[in-house]
Amino acid sequence: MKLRKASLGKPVSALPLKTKIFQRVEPYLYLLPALSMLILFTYYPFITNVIHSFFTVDRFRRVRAFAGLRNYSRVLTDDSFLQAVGNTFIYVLATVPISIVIGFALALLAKKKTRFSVVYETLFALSMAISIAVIAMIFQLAYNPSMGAINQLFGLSISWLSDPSTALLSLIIIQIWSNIGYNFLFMFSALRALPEDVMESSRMDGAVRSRLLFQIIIPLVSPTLLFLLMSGIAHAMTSASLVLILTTTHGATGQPGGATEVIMSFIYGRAIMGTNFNVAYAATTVGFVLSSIVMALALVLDRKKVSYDV
Amino acid sequence: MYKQKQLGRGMYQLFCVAVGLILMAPIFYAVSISFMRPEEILTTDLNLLPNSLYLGNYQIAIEQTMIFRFIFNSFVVAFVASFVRIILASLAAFSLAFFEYKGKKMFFYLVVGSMIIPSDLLLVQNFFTVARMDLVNTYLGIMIVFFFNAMSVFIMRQRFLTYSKFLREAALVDGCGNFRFYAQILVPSNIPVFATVFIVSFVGVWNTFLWPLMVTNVNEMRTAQMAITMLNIAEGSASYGPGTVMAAAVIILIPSIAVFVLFQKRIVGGLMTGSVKG
Repeated sequence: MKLRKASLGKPVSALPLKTKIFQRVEPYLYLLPALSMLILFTYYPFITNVIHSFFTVDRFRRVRAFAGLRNYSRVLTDDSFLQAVGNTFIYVLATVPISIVIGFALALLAKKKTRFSVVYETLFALSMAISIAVIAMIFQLAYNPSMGAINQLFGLSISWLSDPSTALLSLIIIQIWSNIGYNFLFMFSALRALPEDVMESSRMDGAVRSRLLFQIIIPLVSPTLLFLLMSGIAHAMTSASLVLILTTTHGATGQPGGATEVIMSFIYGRAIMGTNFNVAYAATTVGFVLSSIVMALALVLDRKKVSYDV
Repeated sequence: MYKQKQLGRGMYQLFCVAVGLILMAPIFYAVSISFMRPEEILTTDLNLLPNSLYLGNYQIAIEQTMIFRFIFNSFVVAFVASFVRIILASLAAFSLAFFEYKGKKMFFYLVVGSMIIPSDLLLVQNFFTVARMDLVNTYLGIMIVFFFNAMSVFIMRQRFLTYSKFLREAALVDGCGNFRFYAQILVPSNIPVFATVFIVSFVGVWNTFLWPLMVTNVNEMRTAQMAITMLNIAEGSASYGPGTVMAAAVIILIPSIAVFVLFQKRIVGGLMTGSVKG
């Protein structure tokens, strides 16, 4: 017999049947609205995509014939796709850790409440209020080789976005800037939520303070760090906005010459700008597999260091 | 001694403000450019401040585009979608954190698992779903894909798990139903986390431009982000120079920064009181 303790304090058997049934379905009712949206707009299109990747479809997305793994072998031997995968990993490895470290450092700076702390807390968090489209265009102007502020300020003559050796770096810099506010806000909340005495002991000298950071503060905020790491990776693996706004010209994504092509922009180029759904569906599934491997790796690596008090 | 300590504290705050200002340099750059005459912008000399407050860029941005309508659309979509999102997410998190039932683990993995599915890439398929529901060119059509967000559920569940179990037991013993516990105790005492999720959501929805671009094809339903990218496309033409684009960018930034600063005060104060657990 499985007696669910839906209602604490009262023995379940003593309640009328109607109440008992309601208690059984009640938790499902709370879950239902969210779950139906999740299935309709995430799992349904996702599964459709995976199934279609094993078929040949025409440009109206109608299934023509079973293709087996042919779509996959085409994608995995495609040099431009492999370049996109490589760029995606560079993008993830550069943007995620750096923006978390900066966000954490700023949170440590701001953790003590002072008279002007509201001012710099807001400034540190503000980048998350600025849309990627707007910041992309500001940087587009700043990166401009002749009239942009970056070259003028540092006396350089770099064609940031059109030189293959700096194009990806240019996008990475914008993405890091854009992530800082979000990471800061979460680390800051985590630090402020720590017990008073942990924060009080931060008055100690340098050596003790760094030990405090690595042996007490970081383990205590590790769930937040893990959350930021996971959401950061998930976002960076699938992000293509900067590529589509800044380095997509004349219907070709990831310019110059594929130097900024990432997995998502590759798929966009094939499925939306073109109508090559066969390659796009297979590439999508590959992207999904890759991002789940990276996420699993991040989870395993952090398992040992993260302390859960659940 | 005391004076020295106070001076040190003042220097520390000054340093923090300076770091914040340097971090926000791109925004000041955009504001500065938006007030410059075209010939000031097009020079190769470093020109960080405008010679005078030139308003021509703003005039073009306001008169030649429907920028305020675009901002209104973005606001409606971001606000309503975020509001629905926190309700759906908190109900789901309530169910996942406080109840024991069959399939709970599976549902939780469905939620967490969805975080690694690239949502951008589902847009084409989702467009056909929305088109079948006859929601093209409607606010609901733009918003509906944002109603569910796995991270919101995840954050709220984490928070609810640290919530005092005794308080809930006491409430239930006192004859308080589960829904009343959710609506009258759990929600009010977790306003800080709701505010956090709301801000993150608002900013996220406000930022998206690809989905609204797909589900709308009439001018008056377009969002601010799309307007900006359209100005960007027209950048090469004679009408919209970089100054106008920056002016439009600043106009679009004002409401989002205002909303953010308004909620920021609430969140910082609120998170501290909310984190003191009973």
